[in-house]
Amino acid sequence: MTELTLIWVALPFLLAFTTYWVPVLTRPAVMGMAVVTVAYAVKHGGLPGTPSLPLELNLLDHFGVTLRIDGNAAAMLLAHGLVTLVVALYLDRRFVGSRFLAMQLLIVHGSANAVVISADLVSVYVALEVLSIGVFLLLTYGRRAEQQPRVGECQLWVGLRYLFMSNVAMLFYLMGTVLVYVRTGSLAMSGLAAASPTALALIAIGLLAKGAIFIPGLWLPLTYITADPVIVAVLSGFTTKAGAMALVRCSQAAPVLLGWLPYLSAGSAVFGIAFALLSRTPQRLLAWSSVSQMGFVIAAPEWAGLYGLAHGLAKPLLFIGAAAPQGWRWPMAVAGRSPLLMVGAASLAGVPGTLGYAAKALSLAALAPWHEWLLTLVTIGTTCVGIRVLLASPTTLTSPHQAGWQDKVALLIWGGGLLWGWVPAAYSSASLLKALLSLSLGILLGWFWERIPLKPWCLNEGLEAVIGGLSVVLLLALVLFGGVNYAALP
Amino acid sequence: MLNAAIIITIILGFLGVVVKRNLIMKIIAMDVMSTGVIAFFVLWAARGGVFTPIYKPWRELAYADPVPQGVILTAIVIGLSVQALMLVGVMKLSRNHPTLEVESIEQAITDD
Repeated sequence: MTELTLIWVALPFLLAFTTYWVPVLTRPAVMGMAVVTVAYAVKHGGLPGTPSLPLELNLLDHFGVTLRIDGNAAAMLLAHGLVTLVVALYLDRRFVGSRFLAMQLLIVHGSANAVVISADLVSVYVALEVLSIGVFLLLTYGRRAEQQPRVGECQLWVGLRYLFMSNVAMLFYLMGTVLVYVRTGSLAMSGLAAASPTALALIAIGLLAKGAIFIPGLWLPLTYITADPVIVAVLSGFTTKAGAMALVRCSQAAPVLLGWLPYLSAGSAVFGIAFALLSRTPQRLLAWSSVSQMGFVIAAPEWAGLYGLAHGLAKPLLFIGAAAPQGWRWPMAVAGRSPLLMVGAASLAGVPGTLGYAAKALSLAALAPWHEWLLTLVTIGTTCVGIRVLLASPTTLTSPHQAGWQDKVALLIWGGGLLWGWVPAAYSSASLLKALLSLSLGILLGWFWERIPLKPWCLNEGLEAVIGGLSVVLLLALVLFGGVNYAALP
Repeated sequence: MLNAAIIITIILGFLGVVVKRNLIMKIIAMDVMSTGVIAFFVLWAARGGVFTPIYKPWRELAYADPVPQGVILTAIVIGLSVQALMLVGVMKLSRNHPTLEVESIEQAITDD
């Protein structure tokens, strides 16, 4: 099993460099790799509702370089595989440079895999940095038809902003890493239990920025709006969640961090949904709702993987559905709305029967009461966002485009994944009641909200605001983590 | 003393990232910050001794800790490649925004 795991970790990078010699193989290689990852995830209990078989590999003697594949990681690996598989189909010959993008997708896929399975601080650092370089290239190139200019200026700026922000945040993370190493003599995440609060705050800020959680997630909305929807599917599907998964894994080892996780989660959920409710275009609604959903992902560490899977399949559907031309005929499309949007919105809002509901019910049931009620209130807002995305899509079909076959495959794989995930444990009467109540309130609210004229507003999402938000949260974390630690001393 | 100097380097770099208006200056400030972080690693690696960690059987030496040095070597390479990539992006941006002021670039992009 050890050899198999190591081969599987290295395979995407090997394939990516091999495709430089044999460019024809790029797309098949991406798809093959995605299938291998799905198989690997299923083998380790990534399917919702199956028991996971944790596997731990110690790679270097006592420096703590470890890989750990547990339930959370396996569920996220399933999301990586499924999202990569469909996105590879979208990168076809109609676009210039789609082979380059497919190669980058392979690298992004491999490094995201490495992030979610590594259980030591340095492997996470290296994998996250490779991930951000890959994401930068995906963002700046995008898919481009023959007549389009080479690199759009907006895309370039958004990519640069992402890389700049993530590099600064990861420098803080590195400082935290050396502080942990000095105190414990090991780089393993288990050493975080004995780490100083300063080290924890530095590590947390790096992962918060990468995972777009709370105010450090300010970079996310403009990035998701500007970039190509297919690339956004990759970002919202798994790359942004990689940071959150690393944070969850760190907090499982560090009690101080675990104590602050609910507040970060609640802050992110409320921060995201407040701006989502004030937004108007579907893309902006979805982008802000992503920030809010990241709060849900980290809410209950034991269900983070399942929530990440549910959200990682729903958001790509919504982003691609919101951008695709409407071309579905009757049995699939009700009132001209794309089934991509409908399935995605249903899972996002947590309609019983979807994977989104199961993930939400299980996560919420594991929380403290104040946190649970707050997140249930946010769920009403999420439903409202879903309704508004559905209402915002054009209902008149002036030029009936035929939906591309990729859209159908996406619906089959992502939507099928969302509907197929049946987790009996989630269907308790209390959870069902709460879900139905929040759904009906959210639908009503969404209906009325559409009729309220919203004042145009503009939030400063520039580079300086992003860095400023980062530094404010860093100071806050330094003060709070340290303060709590000293208060807990006898 | 050395520790304080390193922390001040990191803070100055971060202040530069926040305060400087020009994109090139921001990237240079980021480089200053990452130099500070590298020095931070090297300093912590040397707290047990400053000799290169190559085993000499005939001498008792206080060796530096090789693990932080190994880690930071990776980080240096990553930092270098990230910076190279960012400077290429800046070169492309400079065609239409020769001043490379962050505000003017953002203004132009939101106006589109």
